[in-house]
Amino acid sequence: MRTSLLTTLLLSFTLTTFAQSPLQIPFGSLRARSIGPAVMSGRVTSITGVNSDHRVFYIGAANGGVWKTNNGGATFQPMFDDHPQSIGHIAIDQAHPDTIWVGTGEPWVRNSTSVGTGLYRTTNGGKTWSVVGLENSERISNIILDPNDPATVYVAVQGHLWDANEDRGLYKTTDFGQTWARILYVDANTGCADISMDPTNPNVLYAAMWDHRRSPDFFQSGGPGSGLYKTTDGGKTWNRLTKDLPEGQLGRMAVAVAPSDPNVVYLTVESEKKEGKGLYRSDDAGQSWKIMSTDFNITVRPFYFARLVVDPNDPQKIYKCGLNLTVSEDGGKTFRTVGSGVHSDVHAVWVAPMDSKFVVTGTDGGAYRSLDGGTVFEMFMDLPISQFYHVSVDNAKPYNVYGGLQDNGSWYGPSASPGGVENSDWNLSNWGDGFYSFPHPTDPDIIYSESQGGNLVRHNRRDGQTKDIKPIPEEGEPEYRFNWNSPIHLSPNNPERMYYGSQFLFMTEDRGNSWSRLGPDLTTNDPNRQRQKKSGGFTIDNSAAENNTTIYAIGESPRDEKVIWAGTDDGNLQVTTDGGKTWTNVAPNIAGLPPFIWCSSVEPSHYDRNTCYVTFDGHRHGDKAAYVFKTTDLGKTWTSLVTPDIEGYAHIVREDLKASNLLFLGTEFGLYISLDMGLSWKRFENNLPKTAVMGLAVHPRDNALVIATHGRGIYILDDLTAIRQITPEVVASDFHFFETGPTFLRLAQNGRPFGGAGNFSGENPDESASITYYLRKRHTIGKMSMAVYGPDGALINELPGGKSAGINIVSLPTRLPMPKAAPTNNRSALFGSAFPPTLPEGKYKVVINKGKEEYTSTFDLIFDPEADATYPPADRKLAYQTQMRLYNLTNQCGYIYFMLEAMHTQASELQGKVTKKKLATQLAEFATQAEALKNSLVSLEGDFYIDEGANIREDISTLYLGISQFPGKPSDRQISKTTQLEQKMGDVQRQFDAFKTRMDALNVELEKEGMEGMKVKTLVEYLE
Amino acid sequence: MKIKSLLLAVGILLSASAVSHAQTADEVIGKYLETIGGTDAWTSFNSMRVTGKAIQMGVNYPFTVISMRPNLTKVVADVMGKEFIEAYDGESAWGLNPFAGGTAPQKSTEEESKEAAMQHFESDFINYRDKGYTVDLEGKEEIEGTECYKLKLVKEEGREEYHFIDAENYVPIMMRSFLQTGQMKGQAVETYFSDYQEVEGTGVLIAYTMEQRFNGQVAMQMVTEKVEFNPEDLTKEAFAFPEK
Repeated sequence: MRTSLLTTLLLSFTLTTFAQSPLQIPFGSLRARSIGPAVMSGRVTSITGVNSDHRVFYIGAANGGVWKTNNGGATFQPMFDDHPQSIGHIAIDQAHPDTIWVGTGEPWVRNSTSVGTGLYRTTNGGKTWSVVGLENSERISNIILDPNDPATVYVAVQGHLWDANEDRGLYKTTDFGQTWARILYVDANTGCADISMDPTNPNVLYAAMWDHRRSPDFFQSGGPGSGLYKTTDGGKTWNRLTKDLPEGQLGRMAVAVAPSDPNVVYLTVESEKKEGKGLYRSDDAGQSWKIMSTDFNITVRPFYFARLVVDPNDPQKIYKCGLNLTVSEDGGKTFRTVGSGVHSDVHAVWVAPMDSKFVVTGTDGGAYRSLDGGTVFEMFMDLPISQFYHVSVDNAKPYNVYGGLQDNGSWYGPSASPGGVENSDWNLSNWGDGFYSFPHPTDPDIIYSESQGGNLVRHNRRDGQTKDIKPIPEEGEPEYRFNWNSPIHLSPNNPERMYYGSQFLFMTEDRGNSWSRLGPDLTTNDPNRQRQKKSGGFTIDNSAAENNTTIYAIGESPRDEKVIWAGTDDGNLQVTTDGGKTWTNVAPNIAGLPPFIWCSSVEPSHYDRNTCYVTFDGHRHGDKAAYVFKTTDLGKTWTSLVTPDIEGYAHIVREDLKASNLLFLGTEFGLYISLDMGLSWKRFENNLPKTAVMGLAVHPRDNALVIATHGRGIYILDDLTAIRQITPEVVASDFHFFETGPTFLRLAQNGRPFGGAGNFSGENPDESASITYYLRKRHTIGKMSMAVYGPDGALINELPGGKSAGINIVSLPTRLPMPKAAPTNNRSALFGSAFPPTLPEGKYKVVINKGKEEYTSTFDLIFDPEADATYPPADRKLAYQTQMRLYNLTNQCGYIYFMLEAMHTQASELQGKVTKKKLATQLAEFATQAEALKNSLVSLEGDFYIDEGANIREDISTLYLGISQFPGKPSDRQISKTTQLEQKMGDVQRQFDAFKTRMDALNVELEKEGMEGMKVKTLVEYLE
Repeated sequence: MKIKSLLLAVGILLSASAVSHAQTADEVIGKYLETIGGTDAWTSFNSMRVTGKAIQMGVNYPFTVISMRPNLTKVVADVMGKEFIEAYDGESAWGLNPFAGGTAPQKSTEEESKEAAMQHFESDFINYRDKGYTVDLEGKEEIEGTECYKLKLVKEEGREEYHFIDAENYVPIMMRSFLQTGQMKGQAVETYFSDYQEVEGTGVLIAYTMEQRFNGQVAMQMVTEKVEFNPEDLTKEAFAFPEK
């Protein structure tokens, strides 16, 4: 799309002028667009609604923020985009529903869970949020407000997942969060996983404490700290409840008081003894308990599903989150599975207190609503909270985006689609948990995707068939260890070469039909870090999520196919310069790098064989700092590229493909851009929420940055050309026009009809011509405007332009101004005059006047080269000429109409003022006849719908409407009809000219009477 | 057509005195009012007519906004040869929207009238305490790469607006308000101000360009071409619902 000359120029200066002093600019109007998708949605952690109006409820996502609906779920709005998107719990002050508390940090602590940064509160329905403490809580599992006193709030802090810390337990405020007291604490390993309050007595609370820990290779649920506690004095004193409950150590529990009968309390128990696990019920407010059920869905994966919801109006009806949503209507004796086609892995349920049949549930794959108490569920298709791990692109037009998602398979979808990128545009290429997914670089039918446990497949999208191509150990080889998120890497040098990593690096050059192993085990192979099969604690959880001592990142140098980098999840960074025969672990050369943390990405430079960028991630060891390094000598020495600007642990670093100074960094809290090779970073915030950026891909042809978030789907930064041109010289200048490539005049596309609300539709790229410039300071005082001139030098448009400091992108419509048409009450005709012709191809000039300064640039408009053969230039020229003939007729007709109207008005007024009777009569006649001709031009009768007329104005516009959207040759009859209309308009013009002659004659008489004559504009004046 | 909030923005620039008791917020407001011509100049105005062009989805159309104390307003736009009107005559709001099927002017709902009545001729910052408004200076924030004072204005029924005053030039460069009704209720609308120039012969400064954005995307721009204060031919009748 952009010229290679430009690229060459860029490269030549970027290699010489950077890396001395930090270079930062405001990103101005550079903006990311969201394309969703919402078809598979993502993990929902918490749902809460307004008790008095269940059309209003909130959905909290695992890493997708808070969404509000005012209409029962027909549409949702995000309301927490500026803050960390991992949501633990949402609570509403029911007496003041605009006051909402959001605890960040998901409590469903799977291996890929994000982190929170404390408790937030809004008092204005989400317009603004304040942090109200507990900043180091990491995870908040529950929030309960005292129904009688909104200043009093209990917050269950589950706390750090990956390390011991003391900021956990149950906290209480009595002053809206200004001060906090920790009212229940066990130890630094035990958090508060659930609380429940007696609705009739807010001093009575139950708290489930949970001893747990994750490490990269192991998960421990349960321990000596776990236990169930009760207070009857608002948390001053606590009793540990043990009677009738299993002996020995416990794990994660859920506790729920029945809102309609506070003596009834339900509890799910994870216990070190298998026979103790199950659902318990107390009918005496916790004094005694009875085991009710040991169903699979009660005891399954407590760390992921320990939540119970009792119907607010029925103490016998309980919803249990689990692999499925199950419900009991007999107080816990029996459970049935509910939900029709609902995604597995249920984490949240909300039952509307005013209507128990209104049930909303949240799963690993979005949120669903039931209107019949949980028999039938429909999915909300408007929640783009999808959790991508990685992203790749192809070269289709428009290009497609590929990626895998947490518990939602691997998908691909278009970067643009007529009417918007919608859910139905996306296609599934593989099931399971999805991670990397790549199209074959040269064979568009082939997609490589994987699922958990290292399962790798080659999918043929032409016939839908999938081949398993996972490497299998040969005789004598050890078992292969694949990371949860195993790395696939496509060679930048050979389209048939692909790499895949277990503890070994594999390479194929025949699409996975055969694999060769490159070298030895590249990890530490430390047996103490290989505990997957025993992982889980009191409930075994062997899902491949804790596979450790594996390769996690692979990169072949684009400059030398023998140079390959492999980073592991146990701290190794290996490099080979002989295609994998010999390897060197260069991690020990990195000063400041803690040992054994994950190498999260490697990025061999596109410009230099010896240069590589890497990120490391220590959050699974409790270290949330970012680690980004660069080497220019194949790993012998390293420089840290971390600055205080970066927030969140680092997932991925990518180098731009055309400007070597430009780097992109994805962290747990967003996208960072460096314009100076990593000397400084700036978070890119424009329309990109503060969520985890895990995948990045620069489109080699379209100059776009595709951003995969783990919680808000795919975002696209469409045009990198401006930031590629930022240099110290540009930044120092007051004003600078950026070079842009040509704008293509694309073929018009139909939108989609009548979907109604509720289906996500992603933004398309802007197809107008972009005029892009830099302002050192915002333009606020004085005039600044932009004028655009066409290839013939005529003024096309005047625009106010962008005024922001930094980058301004001004969209220039690629159509002529609307014609100045006569009125009509005919819909087709009105639309016909609403879509002016596309601007002609050619070179356009832009002049910006800013105060006394004038700046000039040019840009090219060219017809879409893809469609050039289908619509050859001669045909396009004929189409344009015919459109312009009708466009001019529209203006001419409008002119005559309004001038006749002016003649009528003036003559009518004057006839009453003149003294000569004859002149009065002449004026009256003139007025009547002018009006008659005027009225004959248009059809104003009718109802603008089904009873419409047509005169010449309508005939012109209706014919125009028929040809205006088609780029090729109009039909013979359309052309001959145009000629006929011109002839008709010629007649009208002659009649109008006769009126003008009569007007001039009348004016002579009027002047004799000492009166001013009638006046009408010329056509040129009219069109100004 | 979201002309109303832009109209409101025009109103903000029509400011008179700000008798202040609070500390820094009032200092900022004071400097801002001084910058735009001072209170005396502004209090001498009783009515105003602004003409210009609006740009929406690449289409230009001429508009006229008239306003009169205390809260009369009327926006007339010529959209594709059809007249579009939004008005408030002091008692009720009315309008004509041919694109919503309107063929004759129609009175608006009571709620819309209430909404329209809240748009004062003069700036909301003038005597804001008398109006029951509160203003807080919530520190500084960067808007379009420019350091700004962030003023929070709380109006009728707790409605909040945020006004960002350029710390160097002491004029607002952005106002953030929130949609009160409809599917997007609660959604922020940002209005950006630039091209501040003196209205010839008056000594007062107004923003000749306003740009309204939803979610960072430009929804509408309004470029003022002519400003008349106290136009002689503008009377109260101009705002009235045309009874037939």
